[in-house]
Amino acid sequence: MLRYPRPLQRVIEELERLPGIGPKSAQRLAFALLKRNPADVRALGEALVALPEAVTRCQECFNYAEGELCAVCADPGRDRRLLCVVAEPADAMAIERANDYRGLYHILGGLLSPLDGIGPDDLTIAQLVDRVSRLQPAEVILATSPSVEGDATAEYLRQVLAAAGISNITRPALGLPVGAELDYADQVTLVRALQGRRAM
Amino acid sequence: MPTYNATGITLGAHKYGDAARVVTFFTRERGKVEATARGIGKPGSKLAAAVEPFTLSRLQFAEGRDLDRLTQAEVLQGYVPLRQDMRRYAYGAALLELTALTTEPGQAVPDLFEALVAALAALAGATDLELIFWAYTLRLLQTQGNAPEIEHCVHCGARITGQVWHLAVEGGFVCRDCSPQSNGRAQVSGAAVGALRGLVTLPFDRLDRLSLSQGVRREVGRVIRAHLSYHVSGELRSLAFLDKVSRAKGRSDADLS
Ligand SMILES: [Zn+2]
Ligand SMILES: [Zn+2]
Repeated sequence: MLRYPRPLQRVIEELERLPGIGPKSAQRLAFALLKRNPADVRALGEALVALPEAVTRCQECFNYAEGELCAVCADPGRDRRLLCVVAEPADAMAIERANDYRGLYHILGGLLSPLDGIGPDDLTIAQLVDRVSRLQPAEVILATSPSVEGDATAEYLRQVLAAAGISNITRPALGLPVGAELDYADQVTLVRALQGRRAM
Repeated sequence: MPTYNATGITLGAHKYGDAARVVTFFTRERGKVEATARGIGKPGSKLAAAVEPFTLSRLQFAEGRDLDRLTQAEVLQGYVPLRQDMRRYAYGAALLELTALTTEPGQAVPDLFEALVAALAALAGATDLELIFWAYTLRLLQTQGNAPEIEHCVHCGARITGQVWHLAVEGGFVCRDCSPQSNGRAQVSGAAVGALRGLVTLPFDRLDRLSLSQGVRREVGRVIRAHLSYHVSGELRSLAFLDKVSRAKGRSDADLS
């Protein structure tokens, strides 16, 4: 039986272990790497080797960082009176891309989920409470996604933060998507859009 | 590809690639249905709301070789209060978990479906959430033919009155005439048996009428847990989650005082 050379087989096997990559995609990626210029492949390899040690978790907000603090926490120009709580680093990145928010972040590392057995101690909630007690921000924004888990997590955090003496806790407006027509909106979206209405 | 319609409650979903989910529904017409749903997570997705746990929707599926595919969804009820309170959320999740553990694809259980719809609606407003979980558990065991016999002694068939003995393996209660001693069974008061009868017969939105003393509540909980663990294998994560939340809460409350 014909087998791929060992070094190639090994790359395929390692790639297959990544999320969303099946045996076919792993082979395709491995062949693509073989066809590339060796200097490019070496550059990729070096970047991968450096990854585990070069990328740390920010000691303040738990976002990805180089060193002790992430770029946001280390930036003296950020507004330290605003703290935005999100589930994952990718969520903070999405808000950064929108290019409007100038405050700090806190990364929970997931959402509370009874079905997946993820409880408060599996997330950085204790660290969040500790942090708001130190920072005393003027506002904490709970920007978890508007899913069942995101909503329930936000509600739990609201209670915990209120108990820690934070009075100004907000949640991004939830409602009708831009460009949507009202009669197409589902019941959950409509209920929450109406709950979140504001004076104009 | 052939399509079919069903009314269903979303039991859970897991990610499948970037924007797709594999979703488990409990439908009135076909029991459990597992299906893929695509384009979830993008704003404006017509299917996204129906993929969220608890949601009651009218659904259309296209039959697939492996899994069916969700093609249309119209949300009938999202049980919004279940997202806004950690205990309602956890008890609601426990109902979903229990349903997922005990139902099969292609086997409709209309009585259980109606019970789940009623139980979720009641959870959204009730104050005593544990009673709703218990009532649903008993009705689920009933549809399986595994509910405890609460009217008659399982040995002699006499009508149960007053204090009795209980052992889940025996399927219910044994009267004192049949067994003067406990013989390894738990003692259960007449009040607790009465409460169990109320849990089985009262509509979900009237369970709040049962006001149980702490002692009776403990007995009822013990009886239901015994039958649940005897007939349904696997621990309910949602109940363990509830403990985790109360522990974390208890700690942070203690920190403040
Ligand atoms: Zn940081
Ligand atoms: Zn008897």
